[in-house]
Amino acid sequence: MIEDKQFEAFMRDYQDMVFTTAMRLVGSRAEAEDIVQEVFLKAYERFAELQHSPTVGGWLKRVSTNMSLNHLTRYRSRWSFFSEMFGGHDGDGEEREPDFAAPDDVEKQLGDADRQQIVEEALQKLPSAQRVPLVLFHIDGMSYEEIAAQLRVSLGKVKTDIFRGREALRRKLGAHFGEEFNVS
Amino acid sequence: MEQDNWEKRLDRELKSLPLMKAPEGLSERVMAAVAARAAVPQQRSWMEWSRPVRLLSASLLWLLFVGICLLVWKAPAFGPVASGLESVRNGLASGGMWLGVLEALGGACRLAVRSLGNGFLMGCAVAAGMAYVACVGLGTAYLRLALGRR
Repeated sequence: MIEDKQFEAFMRDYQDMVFTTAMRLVGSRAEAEDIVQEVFLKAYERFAELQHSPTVGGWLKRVSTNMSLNHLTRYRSRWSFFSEMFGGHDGDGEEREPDFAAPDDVEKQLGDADRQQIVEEALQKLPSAQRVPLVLFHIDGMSYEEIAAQLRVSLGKVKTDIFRGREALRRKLGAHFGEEFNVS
Repeated sequence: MEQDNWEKRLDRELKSLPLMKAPEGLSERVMAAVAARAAVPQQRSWMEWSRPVRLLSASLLWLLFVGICLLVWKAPAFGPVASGLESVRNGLASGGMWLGVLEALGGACRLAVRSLGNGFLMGCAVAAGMAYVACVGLGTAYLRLALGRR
């Protein structure tokens, strides 16, 4: 019982990090919650050794990343095929329409929190083929080679997807924030 | 140059994103799952069992294997087992008749399939493939429309 209380406290400390990792990779709240549950179930089984480990944060991050990528590989391949057929977001294609209006100087009126919320939403709306390598590269700090090995795709595909993802984000954020994101 | 600037800018933006707030009630959900799993330990994989239980189960399996090997090796020497084996041999010999019947039935089926023609068989294969694709498509549409999952 004491161990359960300790585990709940441990979970409270790390649940935001695990949820964020899963959410940014799978792009779906419901699926991210399922992954968080699986990650913490795994952590519970090793709680005795994890509890006092200084690298527990890294372990949780790695497990949640791997589980999210496994989830995408296992459940998304057939889904992607049909999403592309129906013109959805999960294919390799570019976004057709900007998701935001383009008011002038709107950024000046926004606080940091609003601005980060907009960037986060724009990231979530990218197709997973672009979002996943972009997140692994820019947020998790992985190299192109590591990403290619992790996703089991070619180096060229990783570079192309990241380039397309950046361009899609530039269009989305440029449409929202105006000139400030059209870097020159 | 422009591309480099944008890449650096985007890198800063993405790295500065704060952690998202995990949904309320997530810890309760995980603890409920922990309790549910503890209630049915046999559903966990062998690697997740505790070390003593793993050692015990591995020893039992090894003993079982050795026992079966000894049985197979020594059993034919025992009287009751030898007579049992003899009756099994007799049964298999009379089963030869049934084997002939099964072969005849198989041959008839092969003939029937050949007489249907390749076109019909291809049509069946295509229909089965389309039915599979339709099932996956309907499931996908259900996930998106009814459950709202991307």
